[in-house]
Amino acid sequence: MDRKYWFWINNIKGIGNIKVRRILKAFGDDPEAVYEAGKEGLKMSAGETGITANDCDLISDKNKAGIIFKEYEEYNCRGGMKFVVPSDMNYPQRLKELYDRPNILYYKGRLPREEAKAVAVIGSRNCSEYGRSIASELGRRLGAAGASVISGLALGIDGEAHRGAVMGGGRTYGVLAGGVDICYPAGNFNLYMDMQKDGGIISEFPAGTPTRAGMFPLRNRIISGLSDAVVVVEAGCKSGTLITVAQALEQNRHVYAVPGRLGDPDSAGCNRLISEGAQIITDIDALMEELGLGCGSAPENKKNNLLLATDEKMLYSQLLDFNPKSLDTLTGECGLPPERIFSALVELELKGLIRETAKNFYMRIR
Amino acid sequence: MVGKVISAAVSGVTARLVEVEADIAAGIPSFELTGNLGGTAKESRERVRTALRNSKIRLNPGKITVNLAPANIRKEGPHFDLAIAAAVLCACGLVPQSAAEGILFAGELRLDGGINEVNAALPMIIAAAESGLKRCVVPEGNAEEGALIDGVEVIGAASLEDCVAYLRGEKKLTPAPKCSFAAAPQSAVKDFGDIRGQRSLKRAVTVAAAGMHNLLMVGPPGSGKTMTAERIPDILPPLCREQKMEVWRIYSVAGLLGGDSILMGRRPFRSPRHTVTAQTMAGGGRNPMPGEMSLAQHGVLFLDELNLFDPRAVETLREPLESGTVRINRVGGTVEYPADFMLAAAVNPCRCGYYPDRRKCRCTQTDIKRHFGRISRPIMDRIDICVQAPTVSFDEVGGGKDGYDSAYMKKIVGKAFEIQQKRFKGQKLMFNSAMTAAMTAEYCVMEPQAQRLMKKAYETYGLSARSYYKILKVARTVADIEGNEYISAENISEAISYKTMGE
Repeated sequence: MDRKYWFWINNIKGIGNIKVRRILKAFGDDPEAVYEAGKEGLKMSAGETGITANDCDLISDKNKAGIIFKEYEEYNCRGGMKFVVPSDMNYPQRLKELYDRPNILYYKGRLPREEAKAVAVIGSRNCSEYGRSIASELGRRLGAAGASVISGLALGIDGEAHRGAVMGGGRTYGVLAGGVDICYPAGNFNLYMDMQKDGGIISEFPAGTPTRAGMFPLRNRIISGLSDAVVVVEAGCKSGTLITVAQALEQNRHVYAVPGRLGDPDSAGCNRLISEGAQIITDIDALMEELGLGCGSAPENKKNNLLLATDEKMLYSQLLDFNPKSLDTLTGECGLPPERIFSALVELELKGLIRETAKNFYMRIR
Repeated sequence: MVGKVISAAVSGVTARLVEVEADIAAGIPSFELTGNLGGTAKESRERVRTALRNSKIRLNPGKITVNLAPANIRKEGPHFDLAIAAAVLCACGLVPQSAAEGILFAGELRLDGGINEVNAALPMIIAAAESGLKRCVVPEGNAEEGALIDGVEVIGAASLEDCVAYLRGEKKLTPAPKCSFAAAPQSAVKDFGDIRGQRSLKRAVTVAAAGMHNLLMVGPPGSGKTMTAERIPDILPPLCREQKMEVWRIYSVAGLLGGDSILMGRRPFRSPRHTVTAQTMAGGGRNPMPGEMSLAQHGVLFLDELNLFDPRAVETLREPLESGTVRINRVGGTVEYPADFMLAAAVNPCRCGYYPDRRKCRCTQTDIKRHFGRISRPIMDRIDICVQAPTVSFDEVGGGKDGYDSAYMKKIVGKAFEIQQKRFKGQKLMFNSAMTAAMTAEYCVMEPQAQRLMKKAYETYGLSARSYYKILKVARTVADIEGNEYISAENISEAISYKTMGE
C-alpha cells in the first residue's frame, strides 16, 4: 500500500486524531480506500464515522490532497522521513490499545523495542539539584538494566533522565511536541544527537512543525502510552507532569513518585500523588526489582568501602546532604574554619561523592 | 622689552615646564597668544586682560604678544592665566623681571582678579622641584599640595593683586608649611569586625588582598558584598612614599585631591555605578582625564553587579589588568595613566538573587546561565578568586565580634606582602598575582602530595592551562600566609575552592 495515503489522512487540516481513527475503522484501516471513496462514499459512511458534511468536503478536496502528496514527496527527496502507522508491524504495541492512539508516529533513530521494559522518567523543568541528581541516577540505572527510558527531552528532570540513560549506556527515547527534526529546547541539542545513536526521537507531528504550548498534553499521552511505568521525580502543584500522570492512570500504567520534603514547592505535586495512591519510591534497588529489572548496575563502590579521611567522613556522612549547603553553613556546623575543610571538600568532590552546585554550595550526589 | 616667566603643561600625570614670554611693542593695541594652545588656554586672553584691569593695573596701550614655548607641545587648561599675567607685567616693567626669576606660576584668574584653584597642581610643582626651581606661586586652594613636595617653596596667592605685591616685595606671603603625611596615623574607619559571620568570605578576602588577586563575590542581596569591598583598602599595608606620590599625582590631575583620606595616604577605593561608560572607566575625553581605573591606583576598584555593567566599559579593564597602565589615544597624542589596582567585583547568584535557595528562587538553569553569561570570559579569566557571600544567620547577626577584624587581617596580609617583597626583589612585579606562567615554575614549587592532587584535579575538572596557573598563584599566596616554603596539598585545595564556576 502506498504510504503517502497514510501521510495524507493524518495531515488534513481540520480532521483530528479521533476522527481519522473513526474513518479508518469504517474503511478497514485503508486510507487509500478513504481517498478513493470521495465525497459520496464518505457521506454514505457518515452514520458510522460520525463526520459532518463539512468534514467530508475537507477530506475529499483533491486539490488539498495534491498539496499534501507533494509535501510528502518533498520530504522523501530530502532524505526521507521515517514513520509508522497502526497497521505496521513495528507500530508500538503499547500504543495500539489506547483510545486516542496517534495514527501516525514520526521518528528519528529507533522506536522502543517491544520486549524491553519501558519506563517514563518525568518531572518539572525547573527542578532542584536533588531532583536533577535523582533523575540522572534513575536514568542511568534503568538504562544500564536494559529498560527503555522515555521522557520529553525538556530541561530539568526530563533531560537529566535522558542524559543519565545515555551515560549508563542505555536506550532512551524522547517524545517531542513538535517535528522530530526540531530540537526543542535547543539547549539540549547535544543530548538530542546522542540519544539518536541507540534510542530515538519520536513525535506525532510531521517534520517542521514548530512546538506550541497546546501540543504538550498530546505529547504527554504518548510518553505515558509508550511506557509500562511512569516515575515522577519532582513535580510542583501545578506541574504539567501531573497531566502526564493523569493520562498514565487513564492508560492503566503504574505510577511511581519520588517523595520530597514537606513544604518543598518542587515536590508538592509528588507528595500529593503519593497521598492519592501513587507508589512511593524509597529505594532505587527496590524499584528496579519491582519492575523486574534485577538490581541493575549498583554503584561501583558502596559507601562503606570508601576510604575516607576523618574530616571527609565527618563532612560526608554527617553534614552534607542532598540539598546544597553553603561553605559557611558547613564551617558553622563542624566548628572548623574554612581553610581547614577545603581539602576535605576538594577530596570528596574529586572522588565523585559530592558536587559544587553553585559557588561554594556543596551537595552529596551519592 | 620681553618678560619671561615659567609655567607648566600637563600631559597624563606628568608636567613639563613651559616658558611664557610676553612682549609689548608700540602699535595698534592688541593682545595675541601663540604657542599651540588649547581652547581653555586661548580664553586666557580675555581673563587676563579683564583681571589686570580689575586689579587696578593699567597697561599702556600697545601690541602685546604672548608666546608659550616650546610650541611643539599642546597646552591645555586655564592655569596659564597667572603666568601670562606675570609675563605681561614683567614686560611692561610693573614687576621687576628679576623678581619673577626661578618661580613657577600656575593659576586661573577670575575677572575680579582673584585666583581660582586648578587641577594638576601637584605634577607641576613636582616638575618645578625636579628642574631646580626654588618657588611656585599657585592658587591658595592648591597650596596644601605643595606641602607634599620637599625642596620647593610653595606660595598660595588669593588674588593677582597679592601676587603682584609679593613680587614687588611689598607684601610677604608665607609658603605653605611642609607636613609629612606619611607619619599621619591611619585608623581603620570601617572595620571587618563590623561584618558578622561570613567567615569563609573574610578568609577569601584575606587571601585576595595578600596577593592582590582579583576577587569576585557571589551572593544574595544584603549579604555584605559592598561592606566587604569597602574594607579591603584598609587591610592592605600602607603605601610607600613613591606609591603615595603616584596616587596623589592622579588625584591632582583629576582635581580630586582634597583634604580627604587620599591626602592622608590611604589606599583609594572606587566604586563606579553599573551605568558607567567606557570613557569614565578608562579615562579620556577631549582633554584626557584619569578614569575610575586610574583613580583606584594601588587600591581597590569595586564593581557591584558586574553583570549589569556595559560590556564596553568592562572590556576596558582588560589591558590595565594585564599591564597596570591604561593608554588613551586622542587626536592630541597618546596619554598614559597608571592603573594598577585590585579588582573586586560582586554579582548576585541569579536574577532574583537567592539561588540556590529553592524556597525563594524560581530561576531556571537557563536564567542562571544567562545571568552569568553577561560577564565576559576574558574578564572572568582575570579573576583569580571567586567566593560566595552567603546570607547571614540570625545567630551571626546578633552574635558578637569574632576576632576576625581588620587589624587581624592586616597582620596576615602584611606578612604575606613582606614575603613577596623578598621573593620579587629587584623585579618589576610585586605580587603573586602578577607572576607570569614561566615564573610560577620557579616560585610555585609544590610538595609531592600537592602535585598529585593538582594532577587529579586538573584531569577531573578538565582545567585549562590558564586555570592551572591561576590556582597555582593563589596557592602560592595561601602558602605565604601559612608560612609554607613549598605549596602543600591543603594550599592547593583552598585555591581550587576559589576557582570560578565553570572552570
